[in-house]
Formats: sequence, structure tokens, C-alpha cells
Amino acid sequence: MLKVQNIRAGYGNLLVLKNASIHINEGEIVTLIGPNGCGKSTLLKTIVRLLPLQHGSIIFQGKEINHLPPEKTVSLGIALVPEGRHIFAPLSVMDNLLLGAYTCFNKLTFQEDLERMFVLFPRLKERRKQLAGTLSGGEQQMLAIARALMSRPRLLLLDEPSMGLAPLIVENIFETINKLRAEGKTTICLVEQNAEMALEISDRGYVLETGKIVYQGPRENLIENVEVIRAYLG
Amino acid sequence: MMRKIYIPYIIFALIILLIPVFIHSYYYLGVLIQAGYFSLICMGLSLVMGYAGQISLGHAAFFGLGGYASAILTGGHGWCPWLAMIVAMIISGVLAWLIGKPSLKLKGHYLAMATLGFGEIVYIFFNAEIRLTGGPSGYTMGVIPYLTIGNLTIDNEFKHYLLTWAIVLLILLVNLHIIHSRLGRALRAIHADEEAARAMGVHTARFKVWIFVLSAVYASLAGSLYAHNILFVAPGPFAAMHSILFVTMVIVGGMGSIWGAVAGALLLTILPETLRGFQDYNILIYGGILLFIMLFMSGGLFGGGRLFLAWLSHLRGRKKEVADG
Repeated sequence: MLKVQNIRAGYGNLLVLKNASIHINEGEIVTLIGPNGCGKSTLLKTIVRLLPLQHGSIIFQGKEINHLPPEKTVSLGIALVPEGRHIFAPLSVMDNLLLGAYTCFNKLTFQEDLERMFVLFPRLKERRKQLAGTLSGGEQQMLAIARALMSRPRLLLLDEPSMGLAPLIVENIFETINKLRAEGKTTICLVEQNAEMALEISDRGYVLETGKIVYQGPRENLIENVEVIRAYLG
Repeated sequence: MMRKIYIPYIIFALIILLIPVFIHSYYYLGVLIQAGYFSLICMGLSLVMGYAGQISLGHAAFFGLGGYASAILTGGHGWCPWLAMIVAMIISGVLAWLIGKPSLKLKGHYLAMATLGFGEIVYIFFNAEIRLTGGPSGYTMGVIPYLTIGNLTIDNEFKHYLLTWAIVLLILLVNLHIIHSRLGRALRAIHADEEAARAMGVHTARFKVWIFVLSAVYASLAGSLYAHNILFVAPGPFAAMHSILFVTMVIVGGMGSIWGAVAGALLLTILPETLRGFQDYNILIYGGILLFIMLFMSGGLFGGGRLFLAWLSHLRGRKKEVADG
């Protein structure tokens, strides 16, 4: 479904991703793990084209998306839940969801998607008129995921969904990710610090270190080697 | 939602239309007409500052371009004033697009610098192109006509007042609609979190450019109306100082609030006039009032007004708690 080949990307002159290749198959959950600053978030941002690509190619559903701007990648079906949630704090929960559906707004499908989000995240229904900034951290994360899902993505990129949240809420969010997979409509690429938990629900994983993929394999291998990897990564 | 927008709008429109019933002095009406022009400019600038998060230091130039283009096309070439007005708006819009396109792609206040330079260039142009603009002594090569609507000639302060404020009210309505539409939601998203807005597929650079173009068109419209009211244009009112005054009006009124833009324009136009009675102290009092607004109403008149309401309801809530407890 997604094929990222030998990409190089970064911020201005600062090169973060040196040479990374990953692929994601339809229906999978793939996890990227690695220490801080290894380029996980950079990789996701480059896939949605928020960051310029300096070298390499990104192929989504057989189509090269190297030169597309973010508004095109969103309408092709890639959605990003950014690290640190980045919800629109001064806007209402409803407005946030409306913005999620920004590229594909259609009254009928919008209502349908909204209902679906309210089933997945009942708390958002209670709080739909509230300003997003007044939600709790967990609710904001749910909103960030729901907002991304409103664009009906085929590939959902989740950047650190457990960051700064209480363990109970983290579990809740991972359950939701599992539910999404069970629905079978969305493929998921997950970036996590919480490696054990992320690997538990994923099919495959990649380990990044200083901008390069240093290890990859199916879940079982990664779990077995998690201690090794941890020792290796420090 | 819609009712919440329209009720204050209708009340404001009624007040504006009733003012000439009570105030007959052409001098006072003249001040209010001036406030109308500034309201038009500030409503556009407020979108640029409050939503695109950029500052323009060249809006007096767009105001001037509107004025001079109308003056030259009608006075010099005998065009129909309304057509000249539209052509002036197109010229200003195209120039704004040319400035905005490269400078709004970059992060940081490049637009402020570009517009500051543009304002100076335009000001020098008005002064130096004597054959076209008349230079420092103003445009005297032709007679600028009054505006006409059918058989009605807009030739006194009373008529000018009604026409100007009718246009201000129209643009106010347009802006209120923009803010509460899908476009407005996208703009608010850009203001709240630009990167997240991009991740949602909002074309942020394009939106910023178009908002800037729109604001230049409003300023140009104000300039054309001004030229057909005063029937004379000279470089003076289009200097950089006025661009800064417009930015001040928007900040005092409350950035990002369309009502704030109108309130700021009204306040900062009327205030210096009412303070004239204090003679030498007027600047002191004027500065004091601005300082007070900035210190105690940091969100501007409208931001501050909202804070004040929140404070009131907070007090009421506390009283209730005391009563209940």
C-alpha cells in the first residue's frame, strides 16, 4: 500500500532521515520504534508531505506522491495524527471535526462519519460544543484521532498517541486502534515510545536509529528481541 | 448560530442609520465618514492580522492607490466613477497578490517588511510622478466628479455618510459570513495551529495570500470613496504613518474580531476629535487612553469586552455559590 524508498529528509540544513525505507501492506498495523530524535516523526511528516523530500521516493497505492502537497495526500487518503495532538484549541470540538473533513466535505458522508466517531469516542459527543482546548489530555488525543479519521483515510499515521497520558487512557486509546483495525477500513502506522504496548497490537515493526532503519521484522521477532534492541539503543 | 451574528449586526446597523437623524452637523458627519473609510481598511487588515497572523505596514498605500486610480481615471480620462473604482480595486488586488505570493510563503514577518517597502515606493511614486499624480501638491489635472446613483448625486456629507456606511455594513456582513463559513473555519484553524491545519489539507499559503489580497481590495475601495468625497487627492494621507495607525486601530479593537476592527477605527478616529478641547493636553490623554486599553484589555476592546463578560458571569456564579452554600 505504501512504499517508502531510500528517503532523505529533514529541517532546512539539518538532515534527520538519512536513508530510510519502509513498506506497509493493506490492513496492517506497523510500528516504528526508536529513541528520541531518531527520525520517527520526521518520517511520518515526510510521508504526508509536510516536510520536503530531499531524496528517494514515496509510493502510495501504486502512485508516486513525491511531489504532491499535503492537501493532495490528504485527499488521496493519508491522514496524520500529529505528535502532541495539535488540536485547534480555540475552536469547538465540532469545528475540529469539520476541519478534519476539510478536503472531502459532503453533508451526507459527514453525518455518517460523525456518528461513527461518536460511537468510537462517546466522550466527544458529550463535549461537541466545548472548546477543544478545555478538554482533558486523553480527550484531546481522542479528538485528534477522530479529526484525522474524518477525512476517511485509508492509511492513518499515528504519532505518539500515548504521549503524556495516564496508563488507563493509553489502554483505552490502544483499544480504539484495535477496533479500527477490526473494522478493516484503515491501515495504521504507529510511532511509539511505549514499545511493548505498541508491538502488542501490531503486525510488524521497524527500529530506527539516527535516521536509519536498523532492524525490522514481524511482531514476534521484535518482542523477542526487545531486550536486545533496548540494550542496543541504550 | 446565525441569530447570534445577526442580532448585534441589526442593532449596529440601526444605530448607524439613526445617527444622522440626531446629528446634523456636517463636521461630525465628516468625522464619521472618515471612520467609515478606516473601518473598511481595518476590517480587511483584521483578517490579515487576526487570521493569517501577519502584519501589513502598507495598507495606506492601497488606500492611496484606490484614491489616485479613481482620481486619474475619472478626472483625467473621464471614466464612469463606479467602473474606475472597480478597476482601482483590481489594480490593488493584483499588486497585493504580487507582494503576498512570495512573502507569505515564508515563515516570519516578511510581509511586514515587504509592505513597508511597498508603501514607501508608492508614496514616493505619488510625490514624484508629477505628470501623472500632480506630485506633492496633489492631483489638479482634472476634476474628480461626485458619485452618482441613478439621478442621485452624492454631493453632501449627509449622502456621503449614508453611502459610506451602507458599504461598510455590506462589507461587515460579507466578513461575518466569511468567518462563519468553511473558509473562515479554515482561517481560524490556520491561526490556531498552522502545521495542524496543513496536515488537515488546508492550503495555508494560498489562504493567506487571498486574505491579504481581499484586505488590499477593501483599502482600495475606501480610497476611491474618499477621492469622490473630498474631490482631491494628495500624498499626505497615504504615508507610512497612516499604515501604522491602521495597525494600531486593529490592535486596539481586538485582532481577529471584525467588530473590533470597526470599534477600533471608530474610537481612534473620534477620540482625537473629541480631545481637541483639551488643546495642548490632547496627545497626552490620547496616549493615556491607548496605554490603558493595551495594559488592561490586552485582547483589545473586543477581546477585553469578552473578558469583562466572563468576569461578570464568574462573579454571578460565585454569588450563587454563596447563596446555595
